[in-house]
Amino acid sequence: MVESRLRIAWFTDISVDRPESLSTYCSRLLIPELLKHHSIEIFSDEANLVSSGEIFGARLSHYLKAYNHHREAPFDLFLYQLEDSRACRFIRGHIGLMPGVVWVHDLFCNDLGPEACHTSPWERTIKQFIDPTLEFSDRSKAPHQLWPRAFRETSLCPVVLFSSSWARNEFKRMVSNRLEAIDGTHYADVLPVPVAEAEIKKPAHGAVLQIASVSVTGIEGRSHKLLPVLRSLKEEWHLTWLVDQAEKDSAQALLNEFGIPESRVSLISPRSIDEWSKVVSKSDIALHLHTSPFGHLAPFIQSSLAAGCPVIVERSAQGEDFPENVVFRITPGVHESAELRAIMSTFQQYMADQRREYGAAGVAYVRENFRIERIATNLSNALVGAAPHVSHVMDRWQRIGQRARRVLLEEVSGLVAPKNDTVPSAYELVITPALRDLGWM
Amino acid sequence: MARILVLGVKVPFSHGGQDVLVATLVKELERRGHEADVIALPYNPLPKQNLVTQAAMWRALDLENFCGKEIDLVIATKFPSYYARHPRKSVWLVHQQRSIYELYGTQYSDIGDDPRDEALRKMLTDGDTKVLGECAYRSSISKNVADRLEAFNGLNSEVLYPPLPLGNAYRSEKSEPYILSVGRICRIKRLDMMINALAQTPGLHLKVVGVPDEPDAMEFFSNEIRKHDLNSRVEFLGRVANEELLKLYARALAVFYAPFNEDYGYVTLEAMASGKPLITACDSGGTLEFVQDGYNGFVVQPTPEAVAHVCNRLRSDARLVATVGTQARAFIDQAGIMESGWDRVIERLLSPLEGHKKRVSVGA
Repeated sequence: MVESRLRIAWFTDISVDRPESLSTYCSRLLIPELLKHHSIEIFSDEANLVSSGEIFGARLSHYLKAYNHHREAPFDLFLYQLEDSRACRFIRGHIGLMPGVVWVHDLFCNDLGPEACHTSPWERTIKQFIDPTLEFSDRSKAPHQLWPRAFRETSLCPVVLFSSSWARNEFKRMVSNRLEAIDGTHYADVLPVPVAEAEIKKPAHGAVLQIASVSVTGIEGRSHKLLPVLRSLKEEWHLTWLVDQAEKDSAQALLNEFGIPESRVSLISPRSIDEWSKVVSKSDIALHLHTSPFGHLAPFIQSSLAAGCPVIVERSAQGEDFPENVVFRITPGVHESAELRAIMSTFQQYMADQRREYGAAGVAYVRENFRIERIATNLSNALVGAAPHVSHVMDRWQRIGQRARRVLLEEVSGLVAPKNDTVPSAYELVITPALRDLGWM
Repeated sequence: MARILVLGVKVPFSHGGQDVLVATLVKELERRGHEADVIALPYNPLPKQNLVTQAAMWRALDLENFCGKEIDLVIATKFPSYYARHPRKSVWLVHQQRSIYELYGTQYSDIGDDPRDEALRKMLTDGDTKVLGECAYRSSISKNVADRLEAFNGLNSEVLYPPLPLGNAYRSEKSEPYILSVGRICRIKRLDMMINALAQTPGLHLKVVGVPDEPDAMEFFSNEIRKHDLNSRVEFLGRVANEELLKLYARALAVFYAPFNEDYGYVTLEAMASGKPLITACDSGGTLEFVQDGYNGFVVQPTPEAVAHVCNRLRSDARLVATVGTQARAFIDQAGIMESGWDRVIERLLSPLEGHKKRVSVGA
């Protein structure tokens, strides 16, 4: 790792009372490693957890206290993990309050983010960043919200990291050319999701093809393709399907609809990495069928590869990330079922030990690319490299903040009394001394 | 005996828990022989820049002396009354300006990521820390409020639950098939959740006590009612006299009170004191300090379906209504928040007078 100790404000979703989120998973694996070289304070909006004060060996605080902590002892940079979930809304909000490095887990989001973003005059703010003499937006006019997804979240980031190379490419194609604010220092790189080394076991039942699947029950999860294929297979098979607790009923409905007997399926919840690791360690093949730009395959697919389990993915979205020699890839559409059936049938013809040979390339790939130490080093290097640029952006940002304060007080003055050049206004006589006393002027 | 000013905040044409708290506190102070009065400035949070003006107006007040009468103590209640200056300032914190704290980023906050909004948020957060930090005594009306103050401003405070405003007058009578909702009519109280639940609870009526204090609130709720064809089953009663309120509580099948992250909620305790099951939500904040699901009330997911499920259970099981209601009343009897709780509250609120006592007794 680069030897330059940074003080990092790490914004992440810390999952409590629910399956571990991807953000929490990455934080859990990486922060202990990074703490060897940097100082990290984690910011979350989980009030119950925040009261405990520490997690993953780092100090934990409520995110709305970040500016106070920054004022007391400035951070070198703010790091935001961006995921498409309600739990990450506070992060999307805070990116608008303080620029930093964003690690994008989901490029596409289901909504505009928290309420604070809905009325965001962000396009104007960006223009002000480029030209500090521009006026603030007119409060009486609703701002346009037409920017592409992730434009707002990444537009003041000197470094944007992506956990998927597919997402990085999409970002470059759709968003990056609109980012004018950073004076050409804008930089996008891929930082994959890390995975712990897994113990590689032999499947328990060699005669029965053990299939593991982790997917949502919507059309993007491809159950309508998978289940008819399974029903048509001649040999013995067993499916272990990891689903969200909330989707268990709809998963069962799909199984019923396609006539899959209960004896051949195990529905398992919660859809957590711990559960998946257990499932995949005794499976012959892992299915990561997902065809939507929303959502992600990580960290499940890395876990399958690490366990030496052969993997099938779709030729779509994040399924494109993995090289041909470590995954079997099928193409969504008319030939999807036929391709899936062909791969399954081929697998059925081999004994379990031979099936495992297919996984060897995946294990090697994971060891080379997704080791925790390696990802932590890459992240550390990216942050150290980003720090000077972030510092520059933060300085300019601070000037916007100071100006905003002056403009706010002018607005306040306008509310109290209209300007009068000859007589001191109520604002000057009553409000101004109070504002001075409060340290607001 | 001391001369005390209670600092209230008045939203014209609205009446909420803080108004009740201020009025009963003054009454209880006077009952104990103190000279007490209320100072209330009108409060208007719109436009949001007004929050600065309102805080500054309180800060500008000289409350130490009125017409030659020295004020021994001021008791501030909610934002921005605690911006007032006084050497002996006691605060019984009802709540801060929640839109810059825990409501920030939710549909209940109008503070966005405009740099001017962020400047406003920072000013008020710093201001709160300063002016609440200078209080001679700090208390909060619930653990929820105290926790927020600790979390966002790093200030501790003692929890003093406000005793029930109508003391020992609450009673229970035979239940009638209606759910009672009491409180200001606004989005954060989530009355729409109950209205939508009503569509799934045939035969049950809803009686709503309170007045709207948000623009378009009534229009929104009326639309919900029309949408589900519930006109004949929902009754808006406005503000009612105390005796009428006691009767409504006494005869309700259950009381619905499930705001988002409530500070305290008199309604919770009034329902329990009336021996009625309270239906609240798992994200309702202060209500959860009292309600144990299935024992002295019901804590549900904040969805109409979950509320409807409990309502239907109660409708079909009179024994459950009686058991939970009895346990709720027993809880209140043991909790020390009936009328008798005032002695402790006033003793603590007046604690800044300890070092000032000699002068006060001479003055009296």
